Amino acid sequence: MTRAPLLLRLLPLCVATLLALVPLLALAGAPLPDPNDPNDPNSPLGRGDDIPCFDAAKVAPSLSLVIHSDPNDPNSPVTGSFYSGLKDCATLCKRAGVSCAKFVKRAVACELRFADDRARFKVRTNCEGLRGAELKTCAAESEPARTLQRQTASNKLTPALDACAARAAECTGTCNAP
Amino acid sequence: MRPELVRRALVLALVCASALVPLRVARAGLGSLYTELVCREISDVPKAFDFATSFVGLVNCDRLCLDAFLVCKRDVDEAASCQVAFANDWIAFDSRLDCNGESGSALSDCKAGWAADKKFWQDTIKGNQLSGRFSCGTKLNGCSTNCSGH
Repeated sequence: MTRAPLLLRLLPLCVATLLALVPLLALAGAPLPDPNDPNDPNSPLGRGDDIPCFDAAKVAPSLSLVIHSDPNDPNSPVTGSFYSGLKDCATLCKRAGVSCAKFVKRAVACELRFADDRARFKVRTNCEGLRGAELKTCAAESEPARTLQRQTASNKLTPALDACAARAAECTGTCNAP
Repeated sequence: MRPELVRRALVLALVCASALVPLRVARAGLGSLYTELVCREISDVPKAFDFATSFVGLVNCDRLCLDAFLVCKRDVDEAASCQVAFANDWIAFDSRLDCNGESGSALSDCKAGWAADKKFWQDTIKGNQLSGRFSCGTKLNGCSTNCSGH
């Protein structure tokens, strides 16, 4: 066999390979989805930067409880609690902490649930029609994002609960203020 | 003017304002427990869902649209449930403070005023919940329409 006929025979194969590479090369120019992005921009449920849950970290800062010398400045000195003078002031402060913790837990539970929702819909969308090992492999691709989102949500729990306890303690500490 | 009338006027003003901007509790009453809402705004929940074209071309497109709608509706209901709990806590603390030192008929009047406020607040949340569910339903319609390629 001479060299020229061999090249001619391989030509269609080369052309087919190049054509198959075109979409891959085009994709290479586009930003690739980051499987570790907690915002999950590829979720079939919706935009990645918005979730239907309240941020657990914002619950404790929203507690009122204490009265500042300057009502418009949250950094001004604390002069007392709203419940100063009430005989059950300490109990009310404690209950406020419990209320705060309740809403923190709700917020974190919402985020955990939504992480599962996103992963479930991603599997149903991207893995439709697959069975057995193929389905398992496809479903596993959604797992890193789900794990990260759940971890991100879980990591908020303890600091947010601690913040609630600290605010409640601050409230209790001012119960006897004049 | 009686205290409960003042409170009702404040709540009414809040509701009117919420018709123009998303509901944010801004010290209706005394605000002794929280300075602002610690739940997701109900009207914002459906905005987090955008599945109009996510399932186009899939065999189970309609089913996926329906299930995505159900997730949206469940989260609207969860936000409403959170707000009801928030309203209960808010009113419990403010009324405890406001009615402190009252007795007899004055205490009854004070408590009745706050109970009326709570009812009004709960009704507002229910209205927002229905509106949120409707928004989820609108998204379902758009999604289903895209499934059939119309």
